[in-house]
Amino acid sequence: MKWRELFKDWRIWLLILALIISVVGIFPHYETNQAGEVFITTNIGYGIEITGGSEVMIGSKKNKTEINNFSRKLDKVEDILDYRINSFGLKDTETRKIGDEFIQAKVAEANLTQLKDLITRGGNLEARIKIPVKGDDTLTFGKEAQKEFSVELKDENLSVEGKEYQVNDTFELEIKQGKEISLKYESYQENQGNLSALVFEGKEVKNIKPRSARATGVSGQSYRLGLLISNTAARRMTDISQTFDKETKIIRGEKEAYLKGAKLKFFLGNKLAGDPLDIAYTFKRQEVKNPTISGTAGSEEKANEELNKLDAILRSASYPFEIKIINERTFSGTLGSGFVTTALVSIFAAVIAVAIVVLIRYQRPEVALPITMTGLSEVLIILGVASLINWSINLPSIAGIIAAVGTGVDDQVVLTDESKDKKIKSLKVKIERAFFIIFTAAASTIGAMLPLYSVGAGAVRGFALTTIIGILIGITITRPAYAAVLEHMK
Amino acid sequence: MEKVKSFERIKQGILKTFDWIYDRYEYFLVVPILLFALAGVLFGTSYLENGRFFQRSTEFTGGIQVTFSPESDINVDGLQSSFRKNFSDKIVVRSVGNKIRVEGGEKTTKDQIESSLDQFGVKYNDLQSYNASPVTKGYFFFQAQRAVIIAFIIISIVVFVAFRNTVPSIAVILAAVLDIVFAASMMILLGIELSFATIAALLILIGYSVDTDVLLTTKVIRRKKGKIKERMYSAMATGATMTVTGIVAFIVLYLVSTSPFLPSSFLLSQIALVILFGLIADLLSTWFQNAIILKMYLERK
Repeated sequence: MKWRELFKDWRIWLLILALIISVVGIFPHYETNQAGEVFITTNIGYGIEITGGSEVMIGSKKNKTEINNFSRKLDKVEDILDYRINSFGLKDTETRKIGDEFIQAKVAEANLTQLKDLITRGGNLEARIKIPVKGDDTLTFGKEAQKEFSVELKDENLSVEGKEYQVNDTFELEIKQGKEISLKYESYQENQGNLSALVFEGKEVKNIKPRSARATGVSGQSYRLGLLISNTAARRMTDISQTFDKETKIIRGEKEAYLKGAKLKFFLGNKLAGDPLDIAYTFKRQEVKNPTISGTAGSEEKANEELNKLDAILRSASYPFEIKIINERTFSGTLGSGFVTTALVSIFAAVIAVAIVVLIRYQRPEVALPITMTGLSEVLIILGVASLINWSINLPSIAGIIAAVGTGVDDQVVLTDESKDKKIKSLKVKIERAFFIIFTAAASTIGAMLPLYSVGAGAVRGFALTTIIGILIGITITRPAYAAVLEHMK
Repeated sequence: MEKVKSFERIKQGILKTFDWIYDRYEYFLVVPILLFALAGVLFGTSYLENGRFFQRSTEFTGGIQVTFSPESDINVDGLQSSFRKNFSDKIVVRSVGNKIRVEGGEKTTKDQIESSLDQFGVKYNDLQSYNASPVTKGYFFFQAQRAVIIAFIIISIVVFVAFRNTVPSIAVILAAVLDIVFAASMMILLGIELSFATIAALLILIGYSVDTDVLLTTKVIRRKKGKIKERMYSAMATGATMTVTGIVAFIVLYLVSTSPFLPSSFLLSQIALVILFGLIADLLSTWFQNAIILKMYLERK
């Protein structure tokens, strides 16, 4: 072995460089856990199959052919899901489009009920104003032409303009031809009935001002969020506000006018989302197309949290079509470390077993050792690449690593045997010939895995991708390096 | 140097056997024909019994899968019949290593399975579930079939471009077909269902199959020096080593993934088994099918 020449070869340096980058990428280091135990950890990410978590797949309730621009709407669904899942602070989340049909969402450390709730809640957003009524009362709606409606509350029985309603009933009051206020009898408590009037739906929110805008932000314990709503919604808001009196509150030394007893509530899919908010008096006097929702929380941190929640609720209010959960999967996290052991044991046991076969076949450690070392380098570089591109290793990936290293060993056997071919003198020519076989086989394997990668759902893509990455690393880095070892061995 | 001597003796023995087989090589075409026939019988029986060639996994059919690690040993058949008494859906209970999986149809829910397990007094850990709606059934199965077809189109193009020669190219593809068909028929025999994972395993066989076949074809067709027989022998020495290393690697994966000492995995053990049988078929398809076709082709030319 001409060591000096070997270490002048760029192919060896490429391998060494790749190994260094991989080790840096994997970054093995010590960490202390909550119990104070010190343990070794790395940057390798594991999929939820190993760490535990939940996965759901979402599709359309209707047949996709009945929906215009389905593909674009599906993208929007993905954005909304992404937004919802991330803004609710779930860990290790991932959403992905599967074909042009479904969206898959994965989260670690969340239970399935939580995830499903987050996804299905708020098929539609509604902003409603709470209107309290007592005994004999009057509702006044409409700004230009005010119209009064007589209300009578006897025990739980509500009658509006002579019509009887029970809790949970919805009804409409016409304030002008073709203009109605939609109301719901929400609840009854201690001689007081609570009605709610629909102000706007999610689709009427045209824009939500981002944090960079002046209308949105946190100062001290209070937060505000600027919106842009449709003309109809703005008018409706003013029409409804007429029924409230003025109330002045002193907030941090400043007098501010509010609608007395009114509360703005957001409902996502018929569930209350966020805290009820006060409504400024301004709305009674004029139509406001760009209202600001504001509130206060216990601390600046809480105010920030509230603002984020409100922002998420409004932004992800409604899906462009009705969604349906197509399938769901849960993974137990208690197996985590066990599966990592399974992974490591399978990979290293496989490499050792292959090394033994190669040793028996060639009867020479100086042949078996480089083949084994190349195989191990490949494992390390695959894991390095996975860490660097943030690709989570899952169980199928482990089979993929073994498959890739297996084809890698095959290639090294071809290189070894071809280099011994006595009929051709030039070693360069022999190795070139071996590379013809290697490239053809690599192209076929990648060709077989690519379609699977593009259609596969979930786990199996891990297998396809790991195999493809492994083979690419093989033909570009480890195979040339092994060829260099062969060339300099003589 | 006793060891080296015995190794030489084995080598001589292999060489002699090879000579003997090579002289009457054409007759050995019966090997792949028998393999295809065996696969055909298995597929036929399965089709007559179930109305379809493969058992399909929940991913493709819709339904529920609940996997768990029992705290003590469980009689799988007993558990299955207990389940079948309780449910109207057909329940299948499988086991691998220290894992049990209960599979049901669309009408069965995770909660029902869990409460039945409690009722049967089964204590368990690490429960995982998978629930697929029948909506995906057609879609994913179609996608999977399409992936297989596209994969075959791609490798056909790669092989034809590499060799630019019809008969050898077809022989390479035919060998891949035999590997996959044989491995698939073994799935029927072992009751392994068709899933994305097992389809992935069948497809990776294309890679392993083409590896050895390209080696053989390159040595025999593209190189002119030396006798065909010598070239074929040298190709076999290399190719058999390749396949055997693969077989050994996947035996190890199978053993590890079903070991009682580590968390077992249905997915890994199934992938390992399918590849294992495919590789065994590959030894036969390369050296008793492709090699014979190439020999006949060269002799006729």
